[in-house]
Amino acid sequence: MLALETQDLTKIFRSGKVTALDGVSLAVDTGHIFGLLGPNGAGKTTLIKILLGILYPTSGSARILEHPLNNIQVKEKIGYLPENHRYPEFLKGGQVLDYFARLSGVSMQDIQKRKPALLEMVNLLEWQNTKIKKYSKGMLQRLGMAQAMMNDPDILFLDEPTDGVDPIGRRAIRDVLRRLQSEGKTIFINSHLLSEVEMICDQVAILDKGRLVSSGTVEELTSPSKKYRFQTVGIPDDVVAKLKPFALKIEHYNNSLEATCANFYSVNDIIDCLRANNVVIKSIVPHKRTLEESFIEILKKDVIN
Amino acid sequence: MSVLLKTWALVRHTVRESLARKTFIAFFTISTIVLIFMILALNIEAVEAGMAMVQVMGQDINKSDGFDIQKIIMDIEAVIAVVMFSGGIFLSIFATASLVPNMLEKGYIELLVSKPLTRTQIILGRYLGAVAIMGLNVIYLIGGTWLILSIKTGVWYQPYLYSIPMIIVTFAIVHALMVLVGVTTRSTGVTIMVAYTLLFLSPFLQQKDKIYALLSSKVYYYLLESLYQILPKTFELGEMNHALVVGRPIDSWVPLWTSCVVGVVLLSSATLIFSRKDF
Ligand SMILES: Nc1ncnc2c1ncn2[C@@H]1O[C@H](COP(=O)(O)OP(=O)(O)O)[C@@H](O)[C@H]1O
Ligand SMILES: [Mg+2]
Repeated sequence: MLALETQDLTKIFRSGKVTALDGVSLAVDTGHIFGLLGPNGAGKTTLIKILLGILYPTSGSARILEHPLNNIQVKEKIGYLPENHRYPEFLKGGQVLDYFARLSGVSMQDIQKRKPALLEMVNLLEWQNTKIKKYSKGMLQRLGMAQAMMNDPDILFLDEPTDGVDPIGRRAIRDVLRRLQSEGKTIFINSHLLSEVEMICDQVAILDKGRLVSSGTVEELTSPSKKYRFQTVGIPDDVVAKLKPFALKIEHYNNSLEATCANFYSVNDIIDCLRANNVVIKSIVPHKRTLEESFIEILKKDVIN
Repeated sequence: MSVLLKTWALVRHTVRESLARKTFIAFFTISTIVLIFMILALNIEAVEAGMAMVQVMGQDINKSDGFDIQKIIMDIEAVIAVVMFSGGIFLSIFATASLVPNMLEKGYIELLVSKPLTRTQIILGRYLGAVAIMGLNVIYLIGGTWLILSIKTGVWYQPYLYSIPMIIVTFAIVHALMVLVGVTTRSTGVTIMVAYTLLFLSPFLQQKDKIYALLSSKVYYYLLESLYQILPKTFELGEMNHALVVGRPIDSWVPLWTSCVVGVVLLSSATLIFSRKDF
């Protein structure tokens, strides 16, 4: 089942004539943690805002939990952590949760039940009766997470959730998200922090200048690497010269070399050649690209096209 | 049902925000001081003055006592009603002008409109919240003074209470304009300026017939006439309030219902504009 589906979603801001989204079509399966990646200004926030009815699309359509965008009722099953959220400062932490939960149509009994659990989870239980004026940025972000979950949503939209959160807080957030996923919830994360996304997301899409330039699993985006690192006990320069025909590109260091190969037949050719010249191989490691490297590569290609 | 609960949450929040902003607390405090003053002053001055007057004049106590006290009470109540009409609305404009611009602040409005509420509900919740807290104040002061005066003197003069709906309705109409200005400009300052301009303009527009003689061109006539028609007639509502309280007959109810219609149109326009806005 699809938790979310967009078709040719386009948003042109009249003021400034910015095309923030340019025909974006994507689908997110139920029960996945989906990461939308892209540099600042790519249109990630714009996409979430359209899905939540905060912005109106210039053209295109979308469905959330199988309902069209103008459906109000379905929003009771949606949680949202905005990018730069700001709560009325006269409220206390607990009151923020009460207020937004009530607006989401959560009953008083459910509020009483969920509030302590969520406050505990984001580590703010002792702070619930303190005015949020006194909260730090990280605390507000954690409160925002709890706020987004007060209505026990089926789909959760998080716009840059780890902004301003320290590493321990980040880890806590990841744990929470994994638990939600195990409960069958769908999570949609916007982020420009790739390592974060890599750690948690199982589906990703890359947005650049309003266009979807790539999508798939994290593995699909990171695996097609053809680089191998050969760890050896010294390689004479003349042997390196002999390897040239087998590789697309060779970089030679003291006790290792990095070869970019067209396929694994050439990897074996290199092994044969090294052994034939009595070079002792200690290890051969296929070089795994990080999401960040793939990301930069994909964006570069996008610029060239 | 759930729609009502959500709107109620918005109204409550608005009332709470107004209380937190302390402007209305100040208002309540002033009202309370007035009430306390009345409780104290009434024993020593008003009632005794009435009795003294009766005694000095040496008339039949039973007959004149009731008559004079009634007159004094009516006068006092008329003064409060008139002061509350202009002063109360004047202060309330100041106290509520920031409600809509505050709601539209970045980081908050996005979350608010993402909730399962229609945009109409959001505006209505805000609007009703502002009118509710203003109304509570008016009921507290007018109702309180009425009770004190009545209990102390035994004169239960009901027309004074007509000023409660008159003041609330007038503020509700002015506030509709404020919501419209707030939604379009997101500015507290502009909202205050426009609302006060309306209050100051209203007496002149009411005198339009006298001004026509001075006009050089028909164009200005039409301009004045249409301004008079499309703006809430706050000055006339004030006069109506006075007339009701002193028991004078009302010549025409037209200014009241036309102003109400204008208020509805203003609030609907605000809702429409808000509904189409990107945040
Ligand atoms: N309200 C707006 N009016 C005009 N342009 C906007 C507005 N909001 C966003 N933009 C522009 O749209 C583009 C995408 O912005 P955004 O969705 O916030 O990107 P991201 O979240 O990926 O950083 C940017 O160029 C931004 O300047
Ligand atoms: Mg963003």
